[in-house]
Amino acid sequence: MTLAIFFVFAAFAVLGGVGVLLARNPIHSALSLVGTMVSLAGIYLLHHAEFIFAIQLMVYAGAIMTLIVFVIMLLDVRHEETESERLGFGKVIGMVLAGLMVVVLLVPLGAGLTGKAGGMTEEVLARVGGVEFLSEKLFTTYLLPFEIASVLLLVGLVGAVALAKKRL
Amino acid sequence: MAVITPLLKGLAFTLKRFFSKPITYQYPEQKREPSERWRGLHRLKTENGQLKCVACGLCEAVCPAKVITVEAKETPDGRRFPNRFVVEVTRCIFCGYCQEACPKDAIELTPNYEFCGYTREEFHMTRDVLARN
Amino acid sequence: MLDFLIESILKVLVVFGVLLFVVAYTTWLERRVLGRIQVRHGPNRVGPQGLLQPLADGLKGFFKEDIVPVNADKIVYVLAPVLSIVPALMIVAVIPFGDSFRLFGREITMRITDVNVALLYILGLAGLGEYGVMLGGWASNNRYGLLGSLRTAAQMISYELALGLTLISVIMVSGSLSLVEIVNTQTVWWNAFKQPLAFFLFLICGLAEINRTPFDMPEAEAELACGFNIEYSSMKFAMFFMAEYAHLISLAMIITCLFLGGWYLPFGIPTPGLLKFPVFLAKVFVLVFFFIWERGTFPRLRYDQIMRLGWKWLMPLALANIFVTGVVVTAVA
Repeated sequence: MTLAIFFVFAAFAVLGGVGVLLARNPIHSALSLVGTMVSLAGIYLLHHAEFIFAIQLMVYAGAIMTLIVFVIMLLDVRHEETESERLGFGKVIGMVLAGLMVVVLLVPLGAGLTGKAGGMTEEVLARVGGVEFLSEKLFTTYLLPFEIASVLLLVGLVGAVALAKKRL
Repeated sequence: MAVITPLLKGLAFTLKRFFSKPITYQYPEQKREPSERWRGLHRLKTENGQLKCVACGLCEAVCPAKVITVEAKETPDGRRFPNRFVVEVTRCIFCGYCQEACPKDAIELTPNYEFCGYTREEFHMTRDVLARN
Repeated sequence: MLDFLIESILKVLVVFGVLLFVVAYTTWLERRVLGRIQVRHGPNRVGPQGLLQPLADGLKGFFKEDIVPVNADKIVYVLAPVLSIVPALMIVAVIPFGDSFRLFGREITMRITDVNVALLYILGLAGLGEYGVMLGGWASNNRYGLLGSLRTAAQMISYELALGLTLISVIMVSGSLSLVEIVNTQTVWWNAFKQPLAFFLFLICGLAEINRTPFDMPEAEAELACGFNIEYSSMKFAMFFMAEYAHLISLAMIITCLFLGGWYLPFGIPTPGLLKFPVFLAKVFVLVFFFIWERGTFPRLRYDQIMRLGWKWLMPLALANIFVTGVVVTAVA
């Protein structure tokens, strides 16, 4: 049952990803990305990661994608910018990196690596409750990285305002 | 506080309105009494069962919208009467000049504002319709 | 497993059936109340007191011509109303309507499901809900529609922040993200008494989030001629319309759960089991009435005023509220 639902979500996520690449209209690409995000959220939920599920919906599918769609609408890019067919330097690098990615993904499969089970089994997760467990870890063990990340975001925010303010 | 007080005042006002009685006339069941001088559908007045109209044509002449058509005829004893008297109500502007111009006080505008129909012809009010009105 | 499945499916059917019924009759209520506020009757012809009006409207919606503009983005155009109504209906899945009762020897809880991150789930779906409006306006390839879409996007992103921040202070007081537990912490003092500022802010932000007057920028009739749904007709328009009212009702239910003590009477007055659901309904009704009442009262804000209110007033107030709540909660503990 769970596996079947997982495959449904996974299929939608992959379809969304393919849609992002193949859609000629930027809005359609963005929408496919939303589909991928929502499917991923569903997969998180299947893994009892309810907090991540909600955050994925809120932040990625909700806020960030809304902003992307907003910007596309505002710029009104209706048609794909015609790209040169020439095999440029950037394209070569991109292809090499993509090839490396495929290798990295395939090697563990070939080596028979399946990963090993950690301490957080389904039963443990169901008992401790996702949000409480996560917040406790975040605010005790990982407090410093958490705070550094928030300072980083704040710097980004201030920087964006400072840059935009110049032209206002 | 200075921001919120007007909002509350507005809410209080609309709530008062909510509990007040609607002033709408529920038309077909509840009719509004028109003014005494309301100019509605025309009527040809009668006297002792006979039309007062002598078909002089003054109303036809004075009508600014040219909606009145009168055709005179005489009875064997020499009395004039309108053989045909048509008011095209769809084009009438209800100015009441016909009533003013009539020397015999034979036409008047009644307070009747409820006349309707499906075709244009139904609004070409003929002599008998106007007399019965 | 099987009886769980059957129970869940039955619950879903009942809840959505009732929800759609209530949505239909909220439109009737709104038109009647607005009518009375404007010293007229409102729809009172179809059936006694106009009670069959929603039926007539629904039939009309079905039989109207369904128009798709020639230059519209067909797929997105058709998808938008669906994207609008699905999240609106899904929100109701986590809302508790009352306590449990026994039926045929089974303990039946008056909610479809109790996720322990219900609040975040609601915020997430609220975030998804704006796509319908945004894409609808964009896909119809109409200038007014596009303007409506852009306004929606900007307004919803702005107010979602203040909405989320307001929720944090409620979560701090209740210590849970589950709506059931939040309701259960309010047996004596409602959160509206503990957190009056948060209640006030949530009311405002909630109205802005569901694009309700006085924040109905996306469909400002006077300037945008209905904005995002200008090209929509027939059932597609009806779906936008239903989504709007479903949002209205779910907002009322969420506020009831978060601030008005759900199915509990105030000040610790014990609530008999049979009265719980009616108490919940009464609170929701009062809120829905308030939303209609304020619609009949307040004029629409200008776009820059909405933005200024959101960023310069509501956000700082919500942050200050979190700070004060944090200090008080720590001091009490």
